[in-house]
Amino acid sequence: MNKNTKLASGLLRFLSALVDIMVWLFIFLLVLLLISTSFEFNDLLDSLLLGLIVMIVLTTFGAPIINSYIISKFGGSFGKLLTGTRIVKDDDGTYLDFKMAFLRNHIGYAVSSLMLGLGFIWLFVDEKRQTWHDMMVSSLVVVRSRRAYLIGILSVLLLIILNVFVANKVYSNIMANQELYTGIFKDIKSELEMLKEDELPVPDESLELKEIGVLH
Amino acid sequence: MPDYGAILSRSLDLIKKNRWLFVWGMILAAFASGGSYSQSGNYTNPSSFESLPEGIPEDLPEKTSLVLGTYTTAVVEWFHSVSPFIWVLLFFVVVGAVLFGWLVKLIITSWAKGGLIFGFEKGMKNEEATLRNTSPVGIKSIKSLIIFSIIMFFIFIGLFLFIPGVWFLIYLVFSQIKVLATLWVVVGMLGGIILVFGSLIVLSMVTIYAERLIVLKDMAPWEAWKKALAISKGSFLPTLVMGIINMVIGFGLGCISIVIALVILGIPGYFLVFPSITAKTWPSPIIWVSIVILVLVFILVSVLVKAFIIMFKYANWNQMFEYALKKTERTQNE
Repeated sequence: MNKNTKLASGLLRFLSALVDIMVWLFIFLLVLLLISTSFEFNDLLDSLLLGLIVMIVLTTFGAPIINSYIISKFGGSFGKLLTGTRIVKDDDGTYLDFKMAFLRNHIGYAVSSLMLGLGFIWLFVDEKRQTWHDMMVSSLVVVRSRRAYLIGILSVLLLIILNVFVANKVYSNIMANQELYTGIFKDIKSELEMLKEDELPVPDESLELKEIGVLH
Repeated sequence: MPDYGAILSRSLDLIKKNRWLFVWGMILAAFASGGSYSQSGNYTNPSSFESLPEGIPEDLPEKTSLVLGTYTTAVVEWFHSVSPFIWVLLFFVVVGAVLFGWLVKLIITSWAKGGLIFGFEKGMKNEEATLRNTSPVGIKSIKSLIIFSIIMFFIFIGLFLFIPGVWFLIYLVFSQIKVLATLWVVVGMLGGIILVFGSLIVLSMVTIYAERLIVLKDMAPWEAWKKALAISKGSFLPTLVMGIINMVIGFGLGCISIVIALVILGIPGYFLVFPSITAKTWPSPIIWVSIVILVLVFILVSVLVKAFIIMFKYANWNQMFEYALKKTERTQNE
């Protein structure tokens, strides 16, 4: 690595992480939007089933594979690309391969999260601004475009607006379907109350004992 | 026999001088299961015994089917309307997710084992062990350690199928003669238990030495297994003693740490919650936050103590491995 390489600051890395979170939150809200557009009980069950399959596939396989691929191909996750930072190897400045990107982001992050995220905070005390997951795969996060942080800030703002819009749409759909959800809830509640009212009375033990002269 | 006192004090020294290895220790404490020590206990919730019903209506089954009937009918009808392909897809997705999670856990624990074993080896040579210089060796060992775990898994399965299988076959042969059958039940059971325990002990020793052969000598998994068996046979008694020492120290330290943590955290926790219990009111948000902080601190302290115990054991085993390997090589050269 040459001396002119600028290491990304904690704030810039936090900004890129925020972009990543907003992107995945947007995808999650889209799934919720799909579920919230159901107006019939059967449609609701169909949407829940589809949503479950999509979320399992995305979180277990999709996110790790897509993320590791773009880190190995382009040098960073969505957030890093938009903030002008790149993940590179410590020794020669080239991008990580798929295996190392996977180990760094999907296993290394778990390690850095131990001890209340001490591994992430470590970058503030390390001379190379490395977190624990960076040390484990010998990577650095460097700045490739000094002005790109402005794009990062703009991206976060746009994504927040987009997410708020989608969340609002989900909320309005749920309120529009309130009749369906409250109907289901009320029916189950009334049947349970009917069940409680029909319970047989339990004999009072103390009365029995008094009758046979054991208690006075 | 090795000097166990020297081994234990050297292990403490290695841990003190190589604090970066705590990261590997914490990973194994958080993600590895089993071992001779476990801090989590199974607590029965006393409140579960308070809510037993006083009387059960005779017509409960009919009433229950009526309550559930409306929605179970709708759900059952929906269930049949969904294409079987979707259910098969869901099944494979869930199984795939579980397997993926298990694989990730294997990767992370193998990585940590490799890093920790290599880290203590560096420490024993008076070189500094850091996350940066131990991690590459850990990564290199992941595949071999995973293959070794799979080999051990099948050996364990084979053992637990073979021993009861043989016992049962002999029982079938003797079952015609009642006296012999009864004798075999008693003798066979005792013999079986001894054989199982003995096998478990030997296989544990093999695991310990094989992992070090894989990480430190770059051996292939099956070759490491065979050599580790030879080392275990040659140093059976010293290894057994080291295992007992590790178990006792680990158990003792674990119990002491739990007691200390419960006293230091449990007493303030009790005084925080007790006023709400006596007043039969819901604790205030500040109390809730304080309780959550206390629970988090307890968990952190438990992980740290468990990490220390794991590191201590690994340091002991690294030194034991050095002793046993030299002894085996001396014997082979003679």
